[in-house]
Amino acid sequence: MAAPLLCVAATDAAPAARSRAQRLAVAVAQQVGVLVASLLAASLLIFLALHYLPGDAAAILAGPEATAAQVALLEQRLGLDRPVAVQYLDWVFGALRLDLGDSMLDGRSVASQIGEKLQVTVPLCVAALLISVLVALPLGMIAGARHRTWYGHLIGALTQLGVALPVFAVGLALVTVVAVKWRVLPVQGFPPDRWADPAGAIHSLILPTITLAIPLTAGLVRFVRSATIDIVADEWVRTARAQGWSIPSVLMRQGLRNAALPLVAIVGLELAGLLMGSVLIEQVFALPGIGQMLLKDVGNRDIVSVQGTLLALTSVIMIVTIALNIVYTLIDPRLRGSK
Amino acid sequence: MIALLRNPSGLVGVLLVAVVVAAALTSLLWTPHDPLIVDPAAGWLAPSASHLLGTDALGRDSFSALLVGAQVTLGSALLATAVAAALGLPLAAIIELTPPMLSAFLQRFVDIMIAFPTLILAVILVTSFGSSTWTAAVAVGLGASVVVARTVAPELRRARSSDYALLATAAGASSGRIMLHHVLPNAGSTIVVRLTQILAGSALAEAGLSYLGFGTPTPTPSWGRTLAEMQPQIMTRPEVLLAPALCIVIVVLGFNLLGDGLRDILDPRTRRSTP
Repeated sequence: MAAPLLCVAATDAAPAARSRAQRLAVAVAQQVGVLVASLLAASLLIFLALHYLPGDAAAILAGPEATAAQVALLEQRLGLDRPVAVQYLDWVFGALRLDLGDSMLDGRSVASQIGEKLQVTVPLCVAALLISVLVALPLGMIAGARHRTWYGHLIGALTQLGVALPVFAVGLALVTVVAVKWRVLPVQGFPPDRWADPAGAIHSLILPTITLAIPLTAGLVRFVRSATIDIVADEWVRTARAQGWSIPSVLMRQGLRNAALPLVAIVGLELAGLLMGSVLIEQVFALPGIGQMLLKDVGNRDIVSVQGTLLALTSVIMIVTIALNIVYTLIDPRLRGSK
Repeated sequence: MIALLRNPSGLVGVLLVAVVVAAALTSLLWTPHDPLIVDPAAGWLAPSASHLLGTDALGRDSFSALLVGAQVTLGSALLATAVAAALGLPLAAIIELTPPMLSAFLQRFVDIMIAFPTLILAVILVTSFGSSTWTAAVAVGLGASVVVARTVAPELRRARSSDYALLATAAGASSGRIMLHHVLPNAGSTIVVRLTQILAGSALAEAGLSYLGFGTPTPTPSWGRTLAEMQPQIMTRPEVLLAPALCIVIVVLGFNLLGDGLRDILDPRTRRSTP
């Protein structure tokens, strides 16, 4: 019988437990405070940058032949003649009620359009993230635990390539081979009635998901690999091996737990890259997601819509980041004991 | 330098980057054809001695366009990295030098700004100032500056708590002087490695932004936009997409491997662990 690997001093006396809860509460409150402050800062940045655009939004919208009176009328209708501060507050308080205004082009509600587009973008990102974590954990551990073998080196080299490949080039290559040559999956697009046809929707998301997962997986494998190399060199692993544990079983029992902490952090760091990746991939596969909406609105200079989309994306990413930070705080063993 | 060439990653990295630099320098002096000359009669020519990689829909020479594209890629990657260094390094120093309360706040700020997507910055800047190679590069640089600050700050802390920094304090040096003369040079290797990785990331980001139309505007050749222009051909002649895609891979892989090689030879920790 092998001895227990770690001796955790489990003396959670009542006062210590209370103070831990207090510390956690303070940490969580801090994070939420930072979240509110950054959301305000981001909304100001987005609003002001787009508000002081060269080129008057109303004049562009009215067209080159509009008279000054027509432009003024349009400005009034869009509320652009009000003081900037009023416009900003109106926009932010609207956003709190999930009302981001109406598109300047077709008058449709920006928020409901974003909701529609997220039905494509969110499944894409979540699936790619899940796949990459599931693939990268075992692969990275194998590559790290056996980093001097040929397959250790091979995995290392492949991840180098995976990180350097531009997602849009990977997507185009997959389309060429799988969709154009083999004709297995659809080349581009998404069913017009979205998830009403689940099989069709999933079919059109397979290639994009794989494409998005490739650079994510490569990045994660690199990370897990170097973490595993460090772990294997650690003294407690040497102790465990001396007690008769094999490296795989040590990694399975303890490595996963030790890797979970930085993994939460690294997934948080990948979020911004995930957004960029999904926008690129929506362009490659002509998927009607949030990225396509953003590109179209920027092209049309539909400021209300661009503002709303940017704010929504930023908020989602920041909220998820803070949520991950809070999870990180909760599982961080340094905040667990009595000290 | 010799140590770098002896390191396998370093050697391949130096070679790949050298190819791209050579292409950019060559294109400054000479290209087989003017990449901007449009000749609709010569559209979609197959590769030949005159047109090494054939021509595009408008009859422009693809090989010349790729050579000029190397300028755009290198130029914007260098600018983005310079912006990242110019903002990120002082930010890291400030995080280290300010009192704990402010420093904790700054750190949280950096944490959240890392989550602020470069893409959104680029969209804001491009919508405000119009799309150009330089706007995109500045957006990428701004996004990367917080990454620089985040990764360099711990390194500065390590150097600041070292014995030589303590000695300088005892000798009466100010904290600013210690930062400039003792800490920064000693954190130099980490900074160099990090900036090389940022070069790779910037090249990739420029290609991505140009592909989306937020980067280099037409007609200046850029690898990312060339890919976007070629995309409609995917059903009929997918091979034309290969060259620009490979160019992007070469430059990103080159800078990444160069960074790995530099890390191996500069970082005493990995130097010890590699045989």
